[in-house]
Amino acid sequence: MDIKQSEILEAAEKNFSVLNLGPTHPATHGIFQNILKMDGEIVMEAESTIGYIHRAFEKIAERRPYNQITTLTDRLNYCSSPINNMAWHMTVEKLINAEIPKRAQYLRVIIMELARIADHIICDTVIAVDTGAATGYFHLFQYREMIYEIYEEVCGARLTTNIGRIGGLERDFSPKAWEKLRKFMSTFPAALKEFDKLVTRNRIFMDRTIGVGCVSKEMAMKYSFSGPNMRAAGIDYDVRAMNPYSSYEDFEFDIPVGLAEL
Amino acid sequence: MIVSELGQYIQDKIVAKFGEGTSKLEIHYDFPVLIVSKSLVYDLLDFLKNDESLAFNYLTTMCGAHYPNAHTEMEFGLMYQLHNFENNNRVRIKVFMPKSDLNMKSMTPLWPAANWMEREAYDFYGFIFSGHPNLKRILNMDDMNYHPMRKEYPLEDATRHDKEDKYFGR
Repeated sequence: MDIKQSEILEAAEKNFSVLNLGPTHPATHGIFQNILKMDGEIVMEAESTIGYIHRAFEKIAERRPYNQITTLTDRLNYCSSPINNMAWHMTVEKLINAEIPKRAQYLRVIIMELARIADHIICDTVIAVDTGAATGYFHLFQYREMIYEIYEEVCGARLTTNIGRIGGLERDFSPKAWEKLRKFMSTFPAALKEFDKLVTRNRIFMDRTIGVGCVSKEMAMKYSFSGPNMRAAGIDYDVRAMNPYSSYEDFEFDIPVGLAEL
Repeated sequence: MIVSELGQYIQDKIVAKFGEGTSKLEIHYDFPVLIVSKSLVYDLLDFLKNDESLAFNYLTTMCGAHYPNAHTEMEFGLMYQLHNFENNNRVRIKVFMPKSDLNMKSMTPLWPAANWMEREAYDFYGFIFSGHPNLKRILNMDDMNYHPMRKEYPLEDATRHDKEDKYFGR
């Protein structure tokens, strides 16, 4: 790509090596290529190509009615499809100036928070797998399965949910859905605690993550980090608290923020 | 601060700095939107970022747009969305230009995050950002010879023969 022959030679002279990681590599969890300049095991520079799975959703959406675009948003991040669905619904609702019943807003919050938990289960367990601890992954994935069963009860689908409709929800939660929700809520906190004990203070996990790829507050601001990555860098901003949508202002919740100083 | 008040406040600051008629204020839903002239954009964003009372120091997003039915002078547009975390204020800056002149100053000196965003606007709409450190396609393949998000490019590739209607239930 952009690293030229002369640069490879120069790198060799300085004892750097050039490694072509990807487009497909088990550790990238998706298709993208990195040409890395390495000093031993440490990455000095990287040239990324991120375009391999661009699917032109904007172009496809140009010719579709609003309610057919929801299915595209499922696939933006299939680890938390419902949140993407809701973001799309709320965008259209703002456009057509629709008011959503309070109950639908609260049900949406429940679905979005379940999706958030499911997504965090994937991220947190998979980083454990990548650093060599697979047990916690299998343990917590049972609970992700429980969340998917709740989705199934609400909308009929598991992964690409197409949940909700512009203007509200397709249907109220069934008694079965509430039952599954209660079961999840009563068992998940203990499992999460167990996972935390299993992984977070694990020596191997700590050695492989602490001090690796640190991002300072200033860097996070300059590079427009957002969401959990931004909070991990120490910026206490959460859109649910600062610019609430879907009645988030009615709920009380704590937001974890990274404290490490670089 | 109420959106309209915030918009007016920013508008007044800009008028005081750059003069009358340099920006037009519109309120779109819960966002103040300022439409500014092309030659001013870089200095204006620099001002919005570094002025102490405005301090819009976070570039939330930036994107291109194509309005094929608009007046030729307004056919292409760029939108910058800025955020001030301290006061939790948000603003959008829009700039329009004709197809014949898609040059724009790169915002990478102000926000490194603009690097990939501008590469995307170049890739999909053909905007040229002067001063960009690495202006090449980001999502499409390098040897693509058009900018696919412009409205004149149809959804499906008209040159393909393997997509016969009968196979797709049409």
